[in-house]
Amino acid sequence: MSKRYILLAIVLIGSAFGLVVLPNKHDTNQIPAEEFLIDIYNPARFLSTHQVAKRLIERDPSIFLVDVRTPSEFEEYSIPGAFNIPLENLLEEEWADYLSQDGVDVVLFSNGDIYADQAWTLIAQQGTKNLYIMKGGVNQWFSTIIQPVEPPETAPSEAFDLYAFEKAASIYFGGSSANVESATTTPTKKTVVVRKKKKKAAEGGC
Amino acid sequence: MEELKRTRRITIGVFAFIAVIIIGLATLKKPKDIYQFSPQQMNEELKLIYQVTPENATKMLKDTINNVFVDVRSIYDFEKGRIGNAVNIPIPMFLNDDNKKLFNQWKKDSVTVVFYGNDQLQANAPWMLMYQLGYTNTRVLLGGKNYLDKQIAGLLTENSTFEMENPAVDFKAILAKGRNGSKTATTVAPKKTVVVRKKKKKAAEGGC
Repeated sequence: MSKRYILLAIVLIGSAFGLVVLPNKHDTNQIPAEEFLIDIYNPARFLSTHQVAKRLIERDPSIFLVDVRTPSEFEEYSIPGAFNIPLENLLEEEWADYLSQDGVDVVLFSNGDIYADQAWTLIAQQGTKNLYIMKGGVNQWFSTIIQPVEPPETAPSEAFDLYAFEKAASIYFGGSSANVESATTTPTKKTVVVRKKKKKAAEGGC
Repeated sequence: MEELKRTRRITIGVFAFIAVIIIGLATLKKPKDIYQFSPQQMNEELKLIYQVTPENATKMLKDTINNVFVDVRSIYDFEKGRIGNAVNIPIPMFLNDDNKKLFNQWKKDSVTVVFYGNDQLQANAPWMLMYQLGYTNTRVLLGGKNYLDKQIAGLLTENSTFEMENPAVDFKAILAKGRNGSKTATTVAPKKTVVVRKKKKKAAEGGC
């Protein structure tokens, strides 16, 4: 009888050791790769400079522009109302609430597309929603909004409508195509209140 | 007799316990793909990795044993034109079992895999994902296919660059000119004030 007890004890201790040497659960806040690949492929993660300009002109409170360039580049020029979080500091804890705001579209931009896309990829893989990239960045902003180019005469009427918008936007944002004598635009100061997410209930226990 | 019954009960209990453990392990959900780099680690990696310049790409195209070019565009675009002997793996198919086998084989053989799209942007995010999944032998073609095609065709001008993050114009000077030209059209970029409420201390967690 005692032999059987010893055998059972060995089996239990053996299985306990087996559980001890199990590999650690890969605890990560990253969304599954297959799911994230679909997000990457979705063109809706890009906003055009026109879409951004329109929302800024309308003073849409649900847009938050984040300039991921260096502070010196930001000081030299940035899009009105933008907030500077350099790419290298982007994942610091203090910026997490700025980049994930309920009901607010966070739009990332850099001079081109690449740094903004890198920023998007790093943040979005953590499950952050309402995160966008301004396609073309500041370079595209200048070539479409600040210094728009008149379409050729043979262009469709939509292109001229867009050009009319670009010219008006150029005046608003202080571009060289402004050919007016008295247009004065001073966007008001924008105060952004970042709402805190609800805290999770205490976890754990036995 | 009573002792025998108790022993049987204990034996059954032990085997039931082990059966529960085995069932638990067998039905444990394992992620199909495991990230080898966290976002923070990847942000550091980005500073260290040298991507493939168009000049290097032309050299790498000659060494088809150690380098492979992967066209991340659609099959339709791929059929219209490709770089060298590129393999077409459209972005949504990256993590298919067959393609993962290919990526694993290339990694095992230390083959440098160069992703390209029409431009650099198209391949950038898929490359970051694959790199984070552990395929550290992958790179991106700077400038993409459009730039390389121009380079091969000799259509590059002095102003051509594959560095998308360089300012295309002098932003400050253009705005200053714009303001002078329009006399009174002024736009002042407002300083943005961000109010962040302090975090409350977390409640005690866990414990027995």
